[in-house]
Amino acid sequence: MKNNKTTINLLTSKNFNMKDYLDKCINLRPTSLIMDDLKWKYMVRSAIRGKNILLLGPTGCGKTLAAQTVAKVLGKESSFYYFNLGATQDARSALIGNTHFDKGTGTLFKESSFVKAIRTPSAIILLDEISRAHHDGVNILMTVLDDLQRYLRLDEKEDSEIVKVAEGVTFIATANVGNEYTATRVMDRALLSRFPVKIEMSPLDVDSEYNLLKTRFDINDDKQLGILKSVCEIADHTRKQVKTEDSKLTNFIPTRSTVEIAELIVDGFNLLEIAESTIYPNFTEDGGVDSERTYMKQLVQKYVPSESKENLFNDPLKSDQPPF
Amino acid sequence: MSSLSDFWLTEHDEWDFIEEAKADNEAVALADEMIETRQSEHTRQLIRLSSARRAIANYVSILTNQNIPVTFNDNNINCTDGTHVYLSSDITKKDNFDVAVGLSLHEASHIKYSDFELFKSIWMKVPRSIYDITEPLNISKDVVSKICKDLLNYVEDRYIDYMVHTNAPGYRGYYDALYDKYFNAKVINDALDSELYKVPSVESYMFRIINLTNPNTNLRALPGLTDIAKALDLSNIVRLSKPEDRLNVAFNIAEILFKNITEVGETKTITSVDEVKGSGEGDGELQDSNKNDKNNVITTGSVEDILGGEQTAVNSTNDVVTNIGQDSTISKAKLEKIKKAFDRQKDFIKGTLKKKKVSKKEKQILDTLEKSKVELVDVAHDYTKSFNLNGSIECIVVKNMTKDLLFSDECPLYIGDGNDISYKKNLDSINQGIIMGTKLGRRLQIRNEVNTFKFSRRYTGKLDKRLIHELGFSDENIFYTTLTEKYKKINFHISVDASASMDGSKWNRAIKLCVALAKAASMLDNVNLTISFRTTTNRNPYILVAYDSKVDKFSKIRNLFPYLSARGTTPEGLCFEAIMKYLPVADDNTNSYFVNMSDGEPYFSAYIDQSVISYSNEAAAKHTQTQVKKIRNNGYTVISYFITDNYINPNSKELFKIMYGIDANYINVENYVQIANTLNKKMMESLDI
Repeated sequence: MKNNKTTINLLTSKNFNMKDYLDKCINLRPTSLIMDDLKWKYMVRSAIRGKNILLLGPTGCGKTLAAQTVAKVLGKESSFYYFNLGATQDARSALIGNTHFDKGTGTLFKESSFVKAIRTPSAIILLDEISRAHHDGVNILMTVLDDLQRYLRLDEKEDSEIVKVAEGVTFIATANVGNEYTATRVMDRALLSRFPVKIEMSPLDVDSEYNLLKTRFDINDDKQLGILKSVCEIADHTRKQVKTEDSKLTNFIPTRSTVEIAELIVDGFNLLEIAESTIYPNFTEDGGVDSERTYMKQLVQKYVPSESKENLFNDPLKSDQPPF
Repeated sequence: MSSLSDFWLTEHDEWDFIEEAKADNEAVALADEMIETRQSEHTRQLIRLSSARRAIANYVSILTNQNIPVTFNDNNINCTDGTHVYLSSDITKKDNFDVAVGLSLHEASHIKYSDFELFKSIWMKVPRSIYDITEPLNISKDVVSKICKDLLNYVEDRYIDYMVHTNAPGYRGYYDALYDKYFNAKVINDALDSELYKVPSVESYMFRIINLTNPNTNLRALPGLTDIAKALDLSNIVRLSKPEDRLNVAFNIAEILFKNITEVGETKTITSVDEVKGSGEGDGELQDSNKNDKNNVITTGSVEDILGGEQTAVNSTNDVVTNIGQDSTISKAKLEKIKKAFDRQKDFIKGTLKKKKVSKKEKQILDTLEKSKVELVDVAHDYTKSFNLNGSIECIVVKNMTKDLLFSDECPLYIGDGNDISYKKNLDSINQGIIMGTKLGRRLQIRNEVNTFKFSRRYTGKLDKRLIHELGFSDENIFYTTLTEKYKKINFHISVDASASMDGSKWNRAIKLCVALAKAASMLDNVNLTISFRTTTNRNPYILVAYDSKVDKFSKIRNLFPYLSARGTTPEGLCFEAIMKYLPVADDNTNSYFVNMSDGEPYFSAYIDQSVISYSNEAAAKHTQTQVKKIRNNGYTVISYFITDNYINPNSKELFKIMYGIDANYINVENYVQIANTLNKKMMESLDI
């Protein structure tokens, strides 16, 4: 259970200067989180101000990690609440609560942990995968997220209590937006408008991903680092290719997959084995030579040394020739 | 295909090369079908070209991270203009593919790394110090800038090739093939070892500079060549990361070159290339050595903007003629070879390598084939073994029927011009099919529904809040359970026999049934349907995917199906084997159905290894049976409709039974109730509860 006393509201602290704090916050960001300086600053500022923040981006780009990191940096780990709306079976039970039966007292209503979360002043509440939330869940959240309303009615409680969202509570939601996310729902304008702060998270670039994975898995062997670099470049190519007009791919390699691949590298897998086991299966064979699988094989081929000369051309200055 | 391409080509993707095709041609000549075969071979060749182009386009896309158009040369354009990569039309020859990939990667890397504007404006950037050297030699500024541009191209090429070779180790083989052809050829090695190109002329310097990368290069061949090698510093060429750096190195090399010509121009003997030609095998002595003055060293040439630049006011580059010396050990014929090889090198450096053109008509056909996504698929390896032959049969698979393809000579199923009666009959069948499909769709409408049943007053399950008050009456059955019935996604592939035996009323019935199924599928959610027709050209089984509900509108059926006719023969199993790899993968979330419509007489004459083998009767039926089993093993449910008119050939019926076993349906295909029953029966088997 979170302890309300540990909750920190920086805005009410004496001598708090937002500008100074934001200037310093760049350095507070851990190396494990790769995020643009401005976006990070904007996110920290919005969290301090208690704004509703929507993090948008493709899968595996670090949205959830960013939200967790903000809570940590602001010293709100104890008042950080995580709700995965995509994994919620019964939205009412998860967001409002449930009626239970006790032999001694009869039926009783038990509030959900979400109710407890919104009662916690200056809490940070992560609504993960809001684009996968059930309609019931979205409807329940409408009043909670509305800046002018900020309440939740507990319909099933005896007196239909209205719970006001506590002071300084920040909601951070994450969403995958795009045609490739088939299980997601279209987020309607009303819901989107409840998030005045929208931050678009980009997938990691080659160097950032390489450095992140290298550090995280403590890879030092040159051969393994070479494979890791190749994997990062392959992943990056798929991410760029999938965005192009007339793209040859409909799928890309997310950071979650490269993390898995980095583990394989540590366990001694070579690039070909990695490609066969984790990369190719994600790309369809449909279409033969035109298939995405063929394209990926040609892409992987780029990084698998062929049996050919190490140097393309001879340097005459290094040849054994007497001077002119 | 080369061993390099084995990396991405699967067993059945392999393309035959022209040499193999020629062998086939001989076999067909024996069969007295040469003329038709040539046409067929031409089509196959264009299909191979199309596949090769798409494969090379992938490499270009991977290297540049851009979808740069890769097209065949049809307009005397040989080099990249910064927006396109052009291919020669002889790339499917066995020795050419790897070189073509290497050359395309080279051109693509120009797009990635080179500054095309720099090439166009080089004449404005030539340093005064170079003109100071060349003006006393009466070399025009145009020619100087042209030579500087050639040198820049040379430096640029080395840099970009180094970058790709280093960063794409898997593509090194393609570069090796490219360099072996143009820079490490034996004829070049021989020239480097000879006394040729040892007189200090522009031609000699260019030859020696271009071949500095060759292991046989000799820095003592010309004065200043070591300085040039030092200026270039090939081992550290990665330092030239900016186009301006490469330009400076090119100017540096040009300065060394012109200085050395100046220094020796008046004292060394110089002969023209024409005179060298005349010397034949020669006696080793220089001829008429004082005939040429400095003006002969460099005559006015052209400044051809090699990378898509503009023409400037000078004549042909080939006019830049100068002496190369002579070597008594080099024969006249060999000299010609050397000069040709050097010309090719110069063309390579300038980006003006001659690329075999495709004619306008061929280009048009290629475009049509590409839009239709046509491929050749090798099949029947096992079948040919049973005839003690080692080979395969190539099937033409058209993955997307387009109007252009249907109306072209490349499609054997086109009804032909002026065939109004067949057109009208087809149209009637389609209209009837739509009506039947609408009824059928209603019969199959169950597939859209998700039924949820709630069972209340249970002892276990979820708490039913409305029943909690009953606890007060000692009723503990206050829980509920739910049961949801829903259907999985469905993939239908309908394969229709479009052989001549199906012509007439059978064809109309088959069309009607396909259209009905397509219409019914269009009324249901979560159903994808493709329709393919199978027939033969005179040498190949031919599969035409005419409709795919994922990408085509239903109007395609109305607009194009009336122009289809039944022709040729029906190599049922061969076509199944070819289409199998294009069928969507059947997984746990999808129910997949393979619907066949045929009259049960597989037949085809295949030319393998200079022999003609028959694909017919029981052997063909058994082969088809094997393919049907494979389709079933791939997770497909097979439904086969025997299409017949009033007369049923007992042999056909028997073969049909062999091929499809329990999945054979001998129903009246014009009766939608019977069709609905057969389909529902199969679909109910896969109800997901």
